[in-house]
Amino acid sequence: MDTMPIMETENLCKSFTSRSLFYGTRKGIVKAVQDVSLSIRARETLGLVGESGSGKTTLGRTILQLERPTSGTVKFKGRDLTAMGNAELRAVRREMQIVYQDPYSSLEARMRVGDIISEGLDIHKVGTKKERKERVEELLTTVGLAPEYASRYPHEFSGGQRQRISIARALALTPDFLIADEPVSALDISVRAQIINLLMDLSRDFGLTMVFISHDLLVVQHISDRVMVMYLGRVMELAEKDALYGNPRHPYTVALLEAVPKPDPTERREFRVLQGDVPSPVNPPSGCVFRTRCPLATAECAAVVPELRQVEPGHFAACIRL
Amino acid sequence: MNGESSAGASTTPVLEVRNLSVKFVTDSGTVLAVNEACFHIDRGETVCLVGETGAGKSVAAFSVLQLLGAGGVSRRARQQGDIILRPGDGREYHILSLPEHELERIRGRLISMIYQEPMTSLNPVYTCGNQVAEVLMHHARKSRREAMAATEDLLKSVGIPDPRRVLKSYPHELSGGMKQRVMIAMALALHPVLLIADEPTTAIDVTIQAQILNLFKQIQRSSGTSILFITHDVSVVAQLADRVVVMYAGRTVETGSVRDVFCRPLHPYTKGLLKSIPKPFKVGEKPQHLIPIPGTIPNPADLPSGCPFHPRCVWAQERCRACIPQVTTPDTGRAVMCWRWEELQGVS
Repeated sequence: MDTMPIMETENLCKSFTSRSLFYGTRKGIVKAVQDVSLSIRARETLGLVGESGSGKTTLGRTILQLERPTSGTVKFKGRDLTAMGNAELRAVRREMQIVYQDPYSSLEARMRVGDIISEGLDIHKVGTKKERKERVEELLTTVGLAPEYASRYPHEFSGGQRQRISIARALALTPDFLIADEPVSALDISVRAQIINLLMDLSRDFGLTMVFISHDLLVVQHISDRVMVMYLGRVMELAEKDALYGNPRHPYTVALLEAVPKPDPTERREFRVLQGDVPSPVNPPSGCVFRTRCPLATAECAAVVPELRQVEPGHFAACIRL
Repeated sequence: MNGESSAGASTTPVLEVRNLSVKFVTDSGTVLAVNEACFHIDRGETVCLVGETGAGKSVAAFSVLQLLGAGGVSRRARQQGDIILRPGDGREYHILSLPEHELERIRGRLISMIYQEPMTSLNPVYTCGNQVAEVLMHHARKSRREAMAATEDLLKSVGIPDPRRVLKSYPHELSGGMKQRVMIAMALALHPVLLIADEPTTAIDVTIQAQILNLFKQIQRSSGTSILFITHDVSVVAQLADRVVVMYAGRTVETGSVRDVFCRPLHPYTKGLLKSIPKPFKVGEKPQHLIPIPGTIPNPADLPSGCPFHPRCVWAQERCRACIPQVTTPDTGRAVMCWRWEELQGVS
């Protein structure tokens, strides 16, 4: 596998100002993503896991510059995206795409499927009209739909089929880099496997680099090469899949893996659970953000923000108790 | 099966659903949400009703409480079959033919319900204490003071660390997991004989889900309440169920003990479902290609002829397309609705 980084982030931060509902007065700042330095290798699938509010979706959107970062840089193939203007970004966006979670709201209801898929081709003026039409039909076939579907509307399709349309749209401009943001979470189990297989086949066939965002640890284990665990906007652990699932080092990762129910009635047990809830991102704990639920926390954990450091070759964790 | 024998109370099921069909008459046609469904729940047993969107699992459960639409049962709903509740005092209620005032005595007291969305199923303008205490005041005729004291104990019993604060909190001040605990406390308030939980862990995070699943395990051990647990999550079924009822397109296609259904599934749909989920695997192993079920779930307003699963079934034959399979019982406690289950045993 090619190990050259295709996407690199350095100390990436994104904050949102939370305002009160009625008067718009500032209530606080939500630090959705804090200090994420990450390098994504070409052609790998990086799984991004975490509970709601962990910042995984915001990180994905900030990498693509759909949200401009508060600070830090994002480099795509060596070029700094954060320094680019909109026109320049538009050109780069051909090479990076996203598939959204909700296949019902992510497709424009008044556009035909063919127009949805070819919108990117139209904007970037790729080929003649006839070529674009052929490309749409080819894409529909690639994602396992009939080419005739191009003239239909999204409401005529089921969730799984819509997600296929979404994937066809993302592939239209032959991107190198794809962010899949919970692409199977809204789908039924029997259909979920179809989309997981499709994404795995496509990333192999087209040499895609993929960031697969999910809260489902079994799906992430299935699809990823490397996995990154986030909690309250920060990276807790990053490692090769086997290392992360086989030898998790960060206490949060350990707890997360403990909490996953196994689909096997002969392996039943009481879950060893984390106490309490995820704290509010408006007012995160000082020091290590996980310390309020951590079984290993000491007084020192409240004082210092643990750095993400290498604990074994290629295995990174942010915990001072390791 | 009339509950006439004296030993009957402990051996007859708490709830028996016989050939239940629920149709909704809509402007665009009749939707057959539940179709001749059959299952039962024994005393103290946890039965998981598993199926995908539109399988009819929630409608079947709502029918048990006669909550199909605002104010009881919508005029658009048509129900057939029989739902028999045996609370264990020798009485028998045929729920589909009970008048509304009798149903009101059953809801909350004999059967209670936990809903999927803890965010929307609590009333935002009353404190949590008020809402739980209301159940006790209304049904158990307790004074406000008694009800509040009992509520505090209840909140504590479902693992809420500071029940006094939660008593005075409004739902929006609590996290999803805490709200779900308040809902569970409310459902357990009157020691019902049957607790129906409709996807109670679907909307919450995995570490909180583990807490709630532990709470259900604690309820199973300590309270003797029978539980009907509705979910689409096969892993949750594996962890909680004594018995499993698999629903597809409104029909109960397979039932059996959790071990039987997971280790020796008989219906092609159950087999497909179990093969399509990613399994935890050991370090160094290559992930196996998932084997999805082809196609999609049929539209309940336009069901296929014969076996509802035949368009997606790799083993379908002419017979499957023509007629609906009979339900057969290969073993005691097992049932399967497939023409070819016997020849397909062991085939996966």
